[in-house]
Amino acid sequence: MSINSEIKKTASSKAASNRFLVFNLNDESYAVPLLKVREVIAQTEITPVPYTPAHFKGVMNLRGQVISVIDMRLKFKMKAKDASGETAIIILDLSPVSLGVVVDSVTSVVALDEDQISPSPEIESSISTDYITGIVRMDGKLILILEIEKTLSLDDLSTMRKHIKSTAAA
Amino acid sequence: MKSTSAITTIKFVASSPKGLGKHHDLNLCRCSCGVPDVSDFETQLKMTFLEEAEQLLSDCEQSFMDLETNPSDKSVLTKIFRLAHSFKGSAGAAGFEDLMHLAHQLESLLVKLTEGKLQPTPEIVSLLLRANDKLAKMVSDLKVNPDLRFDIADWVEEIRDIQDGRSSSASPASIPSGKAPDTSGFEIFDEEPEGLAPVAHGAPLAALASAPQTAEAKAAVHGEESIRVNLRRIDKLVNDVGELVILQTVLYQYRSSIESPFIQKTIAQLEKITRQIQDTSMGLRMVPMKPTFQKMQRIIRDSAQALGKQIIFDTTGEDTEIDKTVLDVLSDPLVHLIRNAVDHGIETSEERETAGKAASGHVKLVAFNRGDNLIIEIYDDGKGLDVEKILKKARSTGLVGPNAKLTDQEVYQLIFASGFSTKEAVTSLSGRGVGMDVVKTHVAEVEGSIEIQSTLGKGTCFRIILPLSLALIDGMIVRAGGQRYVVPITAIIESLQPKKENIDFVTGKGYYLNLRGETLPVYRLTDIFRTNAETLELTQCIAVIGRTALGESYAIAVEDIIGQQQIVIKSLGPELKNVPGVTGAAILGDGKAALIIDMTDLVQGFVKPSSSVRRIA
Repeated sequence: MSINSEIKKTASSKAASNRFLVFNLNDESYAVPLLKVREVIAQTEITPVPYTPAHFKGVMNLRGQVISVIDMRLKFKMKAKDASGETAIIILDLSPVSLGVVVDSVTSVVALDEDQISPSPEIESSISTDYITGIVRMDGKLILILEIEKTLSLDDLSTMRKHIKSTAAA
Repeated sequence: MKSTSAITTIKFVASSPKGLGKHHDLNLCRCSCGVPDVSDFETQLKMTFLEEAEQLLSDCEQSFMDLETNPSDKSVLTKIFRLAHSFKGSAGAAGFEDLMHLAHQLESLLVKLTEGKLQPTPEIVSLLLRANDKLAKMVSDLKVNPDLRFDIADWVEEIRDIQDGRSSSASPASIPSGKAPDTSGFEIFDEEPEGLAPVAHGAPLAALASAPQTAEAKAAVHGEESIRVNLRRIDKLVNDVGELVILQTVLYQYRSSIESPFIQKTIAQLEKITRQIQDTSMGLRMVPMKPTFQKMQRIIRDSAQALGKQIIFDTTGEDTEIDKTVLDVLSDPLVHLIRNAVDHGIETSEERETAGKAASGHVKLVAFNRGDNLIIEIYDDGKGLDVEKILKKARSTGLVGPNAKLTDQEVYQLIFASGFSTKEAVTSLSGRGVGMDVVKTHVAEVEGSIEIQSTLGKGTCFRIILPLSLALIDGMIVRAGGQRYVVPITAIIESLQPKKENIDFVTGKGYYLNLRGETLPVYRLTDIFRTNAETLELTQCIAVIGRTALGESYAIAVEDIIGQQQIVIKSLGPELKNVPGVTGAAILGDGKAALIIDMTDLVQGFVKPSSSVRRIA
């Protein structure tokens, strides 16, 4: 996959901090820093885990490593489209945790200069603006840059732990 | 220190190592019945210690250097003190009196340093270094001839002199002054590559001079050779082999669709060799607990003798395998806990009889696997932890405010504080308050935790819970709600398809299974997991029977049993740590992940939720 070769290249290059992976969720474009991306894989079989919230899809085997997978669309309370050939899982490296996120499609890798990114967007989008660090207009389209740590922060994970506890106890 | 902990030693043993086979039944071994061949046992014990000693001494040496560059750093001193304490203890246990004697002197000197009664002057540091060299030399000589004795009277005197503030100008070891602080010799050690290093690596200066001889002697004595391999390489290998096995399984499953009988045969052969590679690679890091248990036996015997106590020692699960690195780290904590059990736990025979107990105390060491944890328990039926006494001591040292209210568990936790010891007298066994501190640090280092259960007058149980980064178990693969789950075989007593006449329904309670006169509650796995799957009639299900720790049997109904397979336990991310009854995941033959379940945990969580044990450390 060419995206993955981009990721590899990025990992070895120094001027990587301004590159982003762009993907689609419910026809809106989002981006995450490429440095946080380990790789992109096609939709694969995911084993559900009991007592977890709906957006937690389950666990998958990534070459011998068991990784948790989250559905970004459900996480953002969007409607999850049916899986298509374009549906992909982005493997994020949020040291020490690796997490997979399901997205509708992965579009491209773009290089963005700081002055292209406008901060604190006051725009209408499907998701809470807390998760957005910036916004870019490109080829007439808006790309929202996600603060991925915040979106999938350990706070969120501990919220999930609480969810597990309360669901299991209910 | 960090780099050493990331390195493990692989041994290519000429004779096949005992106890590496998979035994899931737990052997009960009594100390009194002993090990058949005492001399063999002792030799083994001694050799194990000498190996360990080299590492301890080289760690010590590094710390002495740190001390010299940074004399005010208390943590360095504390670390040296711990190392010396461990060295002394192990040397004594292995029966090397000279080593123990010299180490004891050094320890006393170190106590003065830690307490600030002496300052780590260059003179003292160089004495420490020279003594360290002396110990290393003794260790390397003992490797060749374990029965050697040494004259250390001069050393003892010199160390005493320097403690009492007398100058050691008449140095008996007659090493030119300035030699020890000269670090040129140590740079070789520092530059040692992380990957491969020769065998004699562990021994400092003294061994450097005689390295080839040591290596040869060692090979002759052990009939084995070791190389040190970076742990990361082993992990990579194990992971890759895991992938290989999965691919091989797929290939093997579809071999009948290949026409060529030659290729079919090759695939079958490949299958065999792949399994061998898998076994070998798994085994690289795993060692049985047996040698450690034997060492403890010896420690119990000697400690009991020294203290005039009568102790019966039981062990269970000595074939349980443990990651080599984890074991290395745990070796000291176990010694400390065992010593504590003998010294602080078990009472004297008179005290026991007064309290209406049997004259002989019991100490029990147990190891077993539970889910993806390895659990080591140390029980004693001694006097138990005295909450009041611990609190009093903690208040007197200012560890706890005078009015603070603490739960029993919180009080127990206090004994892990540095320098905390309720025993008044300092004996050669314990009482300097290093033990529990070491235990906590070491267990935390391997990401384990410690639970304490204690009843005053009845006894204490320390439970060390360790994660298994790598472990191989035999698993039963079951299906429920369209998903596959792995149940460790050891947790299953039996499985059967229930007959209609054996199933009863009690309103408000659920289903019960009559199993040869015993009535067991039946839970559907899909009900426990609240999957919205269609449920089969119980008579169409398979009931998997398990038993809780308290001996209560139960049945979990699944739709089918798919098969039995050796599986590698993969741990789940921190986000999934609290899922009740789910202890890990495994990758099945088709490459899909399946959850490993702990049936007892599941049932207990389902029947009565929110029962979680508090963990310390």
